[in-house]
Amino acid sequence: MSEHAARVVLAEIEKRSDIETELIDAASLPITTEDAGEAAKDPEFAEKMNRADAIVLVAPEYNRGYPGLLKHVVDTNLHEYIHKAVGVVGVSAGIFGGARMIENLLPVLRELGLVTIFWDVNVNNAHSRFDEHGNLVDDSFLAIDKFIDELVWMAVTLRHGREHVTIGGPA
Amino acid sequence: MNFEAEKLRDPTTREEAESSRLGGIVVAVFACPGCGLIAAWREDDRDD
Repeated sequence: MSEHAARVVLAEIEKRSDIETELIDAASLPITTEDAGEAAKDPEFAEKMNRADAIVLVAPEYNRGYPGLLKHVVDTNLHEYIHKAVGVVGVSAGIFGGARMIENLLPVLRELGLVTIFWDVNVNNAHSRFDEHGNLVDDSFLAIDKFIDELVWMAVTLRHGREHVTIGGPA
Repeated sequence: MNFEAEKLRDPTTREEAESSRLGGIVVAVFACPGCGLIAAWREDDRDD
């Protein structure tokens, strides 16, 4: 159901002009588990992260945490993320919509240099929100528009900063 | 609920939201697998 949620968010972002989007399935990335961190970097995935101005992570909550594979995959890059916007979509079968997973994930994203937005999407009761084709049939309390508005604002602002603002100020 | 904070969080109430009209940004939607495990969760006793 994370994939259903990801496709819904992707479709909403694609409604906005001037935004190029790409859906990346973490399960399909050729990232080895024989090593970790930047030693396990996949050049193609790294280039996608390098191009991105913003990242949306869509992840389920397992036992109050984020999936281990998600951590393994995001750890393979570092400088590609710095000063870029990130928003998180939590997916769960229960009532909290991955809120506790997101709380655990935020310090990881900060350490990677990403800038988190203060809106999340909490897809709770995920088993009843989608039909058998993955279509969203219940969008109550998701506020995806506000999430995307904030993500875009942060992405545009940070891109301006990356391109025009020098850390430490003018020489 | 803190309605004032909620209002401040709404980008439509902020002048800076104008910046979002700047275009050309790239957004990567990065989905993590595991949907099957969610579907397998018991619905009666999971509260997360």
